[in-house]
Amino acid sequence: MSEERDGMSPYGEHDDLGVIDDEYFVADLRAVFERPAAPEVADRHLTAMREVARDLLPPVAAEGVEAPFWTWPRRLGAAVAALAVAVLGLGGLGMAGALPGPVQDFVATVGDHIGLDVPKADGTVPGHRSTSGDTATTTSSGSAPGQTGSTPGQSGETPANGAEAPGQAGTTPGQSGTAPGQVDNPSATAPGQVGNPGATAPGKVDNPSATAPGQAGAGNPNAGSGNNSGNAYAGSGNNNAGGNGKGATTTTRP
Amino acid sequence: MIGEAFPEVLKAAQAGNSDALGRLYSECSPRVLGYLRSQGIADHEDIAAEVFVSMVRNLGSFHGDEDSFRGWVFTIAQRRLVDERRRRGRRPEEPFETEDLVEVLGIGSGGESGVESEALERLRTSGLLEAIEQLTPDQRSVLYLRAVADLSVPDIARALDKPETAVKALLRRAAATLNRRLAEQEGGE
Repeated sequence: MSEERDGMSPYGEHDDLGVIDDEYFVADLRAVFERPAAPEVADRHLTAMREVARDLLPPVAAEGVEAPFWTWPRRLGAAVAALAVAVLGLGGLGMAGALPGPVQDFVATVGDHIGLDVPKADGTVPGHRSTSGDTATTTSSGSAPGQTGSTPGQSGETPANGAEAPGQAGTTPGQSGTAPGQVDNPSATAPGQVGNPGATAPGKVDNPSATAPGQAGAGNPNAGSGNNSGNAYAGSGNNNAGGNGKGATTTTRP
Repeated sequence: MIGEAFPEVLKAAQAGNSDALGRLYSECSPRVLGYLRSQGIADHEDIAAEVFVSMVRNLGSFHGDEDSFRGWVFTIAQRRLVDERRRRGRRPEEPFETEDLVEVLGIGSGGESGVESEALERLRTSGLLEAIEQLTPDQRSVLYLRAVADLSVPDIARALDKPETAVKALLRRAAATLNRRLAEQEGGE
């Protein structure tokens, strides 16, 4: 079609899309429609564009304008960094027990909520589960109720004060054997316990001969009521002699 | 056409450089204005201002070469046009589009060159200007974007948010209308 330009024959003899592909026609359309904006219109357009650019684009790059240091992303980053330093700093000092008393107590309480053992100002750990013997009421000896005496520490729900476990064969608690989890084997965990060494073993010796009220002898799975002054973390275990019973550990919070 | 310098110009414009924005405007504005004129938009300069403001506002998200950029700007123009038609449709008392393209073009009022007047005269005498005025808005869009803005069919489809098959069909119908008019004109002479 470029050859046609010399021929001065606009808008004639076309293929395909016809006149739409005609170079003369296109040139005339451009001449008529594609005219630049008048200078005053172009100024107006450019002013509007520059104002938007100044408002929206990064101010660093805008010519002649120095960027303010505290932009929003920087402010946000600084806030996050300050928060992280505060949390880590307070946490670290709190773990070391090096904070002032009230702050230490507060951090200990917060730590307790999120599962961290942070000592209070007096050195105790809130909610600590009898790991050091300073907080837990533990049983040092005695057999676990619900045993037959031949398989110590296996099972039986243990009322806090040594009541006989349900499902007992009538033996006296504390007869024989040593329940795991007692003091002489602090690292062992009796079935039915929650794996807290040193926690209360079944069959507390405070009242080793006590019988749990509500026991019904063999096969009675109901727990007896004991004099448990702390929390009871119950688990289930097997009772060779009296069927299934439940074991319990007691923990006394400070 | 900016050519090889386009990536640097674009980058500078994205960073807010005033000269680069001016260069992009110089490159785009005749075509955008032409597109709006071809649609018979009476206040095409105001609509164009909104197109360029929108272009600057979204410039940071654009990635691509100069051809893509051209198509992208027409996409903005088309969307702005659709929005404006919708808005004006609720207030029909305000004149927005006219079928009298000469009125929109402003040729004859002075200020234009002889080339423009001659081109307009050829389009008039061939009957093509009248045929263009009778095209539907979609056909006129496709004609302009294909013939004047030199966009490919896929780019036109993107700009108009239509399938390529629809764009091709619109183009064929527009061409048929113009060719028929030419044939009538030649037969009448």
